[in-house]
Amino acid sequence: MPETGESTAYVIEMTLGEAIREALAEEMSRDPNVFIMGEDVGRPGGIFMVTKGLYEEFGKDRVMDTPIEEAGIVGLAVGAAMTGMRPIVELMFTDFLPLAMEQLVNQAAKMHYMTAGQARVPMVLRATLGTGRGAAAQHSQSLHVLVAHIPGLKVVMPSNPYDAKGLLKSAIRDDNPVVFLEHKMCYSTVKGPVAREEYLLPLGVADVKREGQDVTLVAISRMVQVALAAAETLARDGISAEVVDPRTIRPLDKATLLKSVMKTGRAVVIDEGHLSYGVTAEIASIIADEAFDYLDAPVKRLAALDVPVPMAPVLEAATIPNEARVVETVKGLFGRRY
Amino acid sequence: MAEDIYMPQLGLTMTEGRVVRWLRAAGEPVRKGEPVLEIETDKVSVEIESPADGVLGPILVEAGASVPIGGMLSHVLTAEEQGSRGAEGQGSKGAEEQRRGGAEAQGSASPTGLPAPSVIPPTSSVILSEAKNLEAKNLVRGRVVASPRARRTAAELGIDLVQVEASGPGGRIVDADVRWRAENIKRETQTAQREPQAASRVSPLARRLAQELGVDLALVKGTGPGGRIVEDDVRHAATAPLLPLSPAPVLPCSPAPVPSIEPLTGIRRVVAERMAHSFTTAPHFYLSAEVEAAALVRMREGLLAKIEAATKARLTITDILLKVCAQALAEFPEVNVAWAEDAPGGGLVRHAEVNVGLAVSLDAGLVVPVLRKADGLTLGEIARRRSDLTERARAGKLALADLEGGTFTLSNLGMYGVDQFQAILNPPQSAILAIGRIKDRPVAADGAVVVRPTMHLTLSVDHRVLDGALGARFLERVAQLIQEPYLLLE
Amino acid sequence: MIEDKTLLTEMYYQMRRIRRFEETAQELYRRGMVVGLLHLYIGEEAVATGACLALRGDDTITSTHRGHGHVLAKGADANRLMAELCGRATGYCHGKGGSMHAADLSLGILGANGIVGGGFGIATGAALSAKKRRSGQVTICFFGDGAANQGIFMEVLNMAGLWQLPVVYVCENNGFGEYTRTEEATPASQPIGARAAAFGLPTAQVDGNDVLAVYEAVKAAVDRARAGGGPSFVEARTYRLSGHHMGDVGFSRNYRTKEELDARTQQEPVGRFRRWLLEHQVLAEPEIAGLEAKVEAEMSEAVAFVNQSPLAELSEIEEHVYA
Repeated sequence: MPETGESTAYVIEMTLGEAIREALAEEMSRDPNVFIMGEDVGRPGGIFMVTKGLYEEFGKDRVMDTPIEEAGIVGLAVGAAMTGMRPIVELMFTDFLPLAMEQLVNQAAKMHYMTAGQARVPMVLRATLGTGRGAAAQHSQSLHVLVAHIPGLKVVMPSNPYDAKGLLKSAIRDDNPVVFLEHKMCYSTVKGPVAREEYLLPLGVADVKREGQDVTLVAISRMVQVALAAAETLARDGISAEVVDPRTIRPLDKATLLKSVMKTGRAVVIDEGHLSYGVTAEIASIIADEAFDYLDAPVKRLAALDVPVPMAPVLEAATIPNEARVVETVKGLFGRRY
Repeated sequence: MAEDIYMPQLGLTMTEGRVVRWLRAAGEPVRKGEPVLEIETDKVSVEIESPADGVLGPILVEAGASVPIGGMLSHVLTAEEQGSRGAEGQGSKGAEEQRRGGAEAQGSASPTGLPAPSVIPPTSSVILSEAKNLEAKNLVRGRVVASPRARRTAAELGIDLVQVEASGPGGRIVDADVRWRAENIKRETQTAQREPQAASRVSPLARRLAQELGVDLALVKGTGPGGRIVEDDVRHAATAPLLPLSPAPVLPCSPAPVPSIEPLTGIRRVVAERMAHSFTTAPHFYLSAEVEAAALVRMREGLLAKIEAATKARLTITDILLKVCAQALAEFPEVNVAWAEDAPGGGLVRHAEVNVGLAVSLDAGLVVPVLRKADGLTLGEIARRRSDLTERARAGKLALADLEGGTFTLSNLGMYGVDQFQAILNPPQSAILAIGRIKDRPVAADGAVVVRPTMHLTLSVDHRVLDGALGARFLERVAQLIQEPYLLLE
Repeated sequence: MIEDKTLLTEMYYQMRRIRRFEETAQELYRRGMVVGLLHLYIGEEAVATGACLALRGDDTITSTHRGHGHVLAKGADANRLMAELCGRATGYCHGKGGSMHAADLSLGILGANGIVGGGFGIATGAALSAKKRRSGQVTICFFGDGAANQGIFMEVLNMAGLWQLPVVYVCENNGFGEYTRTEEATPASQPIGARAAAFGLPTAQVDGNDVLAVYEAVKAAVDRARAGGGPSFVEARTYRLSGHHMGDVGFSRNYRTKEELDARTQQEPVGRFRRWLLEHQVLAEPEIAGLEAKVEAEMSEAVAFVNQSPLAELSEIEEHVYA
């Protein structure tokens, strides 16, 4: 990091935000066509400080502060991507996705298909999601399902610094429009080892974060940490939980999920999007369909309450899955004998 | 969703509990926490409360019956479940009537028209009620509720889901329940293999066939439900080469000074089981006689060379004794009988052939090869066959056919210096003759004490089949033939 | 005053080509061979022609749902365009895009667009890209008077003006937004260009049926952009002789009368330019006839090409979702 001096360590501990910044910096250095645009991303360093320092390092032409016009910004990114650039657009909150949906859904997602492969849109749209700041209903949503539904888009949701760096680099190099969603509460609180060397993690590949035998917990973004904590608690009660992190929501690594559930026979899908008509429904449905004969219990979903996110922290916390709810749900899958 | 009412574990040592009385009846509405029945263990008496609001389902275990921990007693059904018609209602009614019908209902259709469930009739009342309970419970819903994984496992392992007790949420049969049942069946099968005489372990057809083919059911492995011996098993055993009587593998020795348990395998195991069974089920009655053996010895010496030249076998005292027994059996067909295990009230099997078995002691254990139709064999033939059988026995190459069909056994321990002993009947035979050594002993003759070579005979008979007088007459004839062996020419 | 005979000849050729293409497409539609929606450009040929001929080969354009004119004027192949309209595997988009998504990236055609105003972001982004790459490319964003009311128009004007992007916004005011007259959707007190001017863009308003006027205005804007002078706005006032789309037949939608249509037909730009060429003795009748014959041959060839082409391949249905 520029401020603290170059570390010579091979692997160091970083926060999620730092890992993302490192990925951005590395890709910007590597490819002059990569540039960043968004509101307050440049000189102010990003509202969550993720792009801090990049403006100074790369200049204002490559880290562009834009006016507040989400549709226009994303639209420009599409046009730039179609003509040789690799823009990384930042939307402060996924709550602002709806403002840019036309550009993402009707233009970016479909250009390659509608032109039978002539046009490519190698752009990345980064945005934050999740509750925890008392930011209320219009700044706390996890709307990844909206983009996951669209053929032609890729949706990536890393849960830890190591994954974030490798996945973002891959997203930037991907020739498709990739929506890369980061949990705003994890930028500085989720830390982990990150290799200070060039590495890429493939999109569309899930990761087993913890191996287990008795139940599969499919967890997304910050829910990975919740699931891991629940797994620890469950282990003390003799239940061995396997935690699978899809990492990419679309395209989904079905093989890894199904292999896990075929082994354990039980699945709980945990996400911060709303319960109804959400990403958990898609994953649960795939499991119920393709691992049907291996299921010993119904597939359960734990997700956010079907209410707009309330402001007061005590209310806000009650709308999302937590460790206790995961443990309780898992236990309900087992019979008296096992 | 129905809630289970099951026999709870109330103490560390509790393994089962008895239903004392039901406080509520099937079909009555119950509330959560209300006492529903009274149970007792050997230590305590306790009331079981309803786990939920609803309606009490069919009573699965009547007052007075005992079930193991976890055994299902009843359910609390929701209004919808209670109210649903058709298969569910019929199923529960049919199951209840069948239970009350007891033995008579077995194998016949229930009053509701549903076919009786094909349950293997178990042997204890606890198992009976459990099997019925499971079925009743599983059929109450009109279908078996099982997870897909459980169904898969059941299909793989060949388990009938209707027989599986559910422990999953909402009364669902889960994978572990199926595997539990498979384990139980395995244990039952192993038990069945040790008790081939148990009525439920051999199908009637298999039993008939075994008799026809002369197959010893004790040596047949059952592959039917619950380890039952079925027709195919008997056919297979009749044609298969020797299996269970090959010498047992060398058992591992524990080097430690602590005594370790060596499980019995192979012949020794079979012998142990059969001896125990024989000795405890057949009432043994013993008759002894001391006979003069000089004539026997002279006869042997006289025929030794000739028979050896003709058959290459060396004639032994045992060979002559085999002929004597065969002759006596031919003359006393009422001794050539066997006890019939599955005849209700007892029965006899009158053998058509005189097949005399000779007890042969091997390192691995006792085997009894059989000389078939011994009454029609010459001494030379007996010697030759006996020689061949004992040689093959020692080499571990006896075939099943060599061991089957025996109707009488001769056991000679004379070569070990034993004067006299009482043999244990070789089931299902009714008589066995034990021979001691020929030794010079003082006997009374013409008022004086003289020394003559004598031999002790002890006949053990199954007093269910042969009474003392008959045994005595048989022994008398045997003794006569031994002391006057020329009578064999009659 | 344009005196370049080659350019003038090319102008007439393109206008005639566009007109005949649209009429041919119309015929094919009536015969059931054009599948999907069809929005014809008849009456507006001067705008596409004048504007596109002011561009360099590597300049880019975004078009609209009524885009055959722009696409042909930018150099697209009539065969492949006709085949695309007819859902053939040989079309520009293998039959997967259709009329509204026709594109040829190699010619700088960044696609017709089915969303009204869908080209704003893309065109402005392409201009941003050209500026960053210092390629000297200019982008023309074609759009209609209806699209000028989309919010994103304001957004891109803001950024184009802010960053001085090399983009020319060419507004084809053809009098109608679908079935609504322009004056009923847009306040007449200010010309559409006033919006662009509010963001600091130089604006021009021309007779859209005068191909020369269009050319001159757009050329000036393009040259300005190429020289680093930033974005411009040109409003070309024309008239949509076609219905909104092929389903818009007769006068059932009640937005104009037959009298109006007839009067306006007299002022259509292709015939007008033909007369101008003859009057100014740029071309003689036989030369013009020769051009027209060439166009006819091209159209015949396009129809034959369609008839020989297989339908869109089922095997491609899942292809091109991802690059």
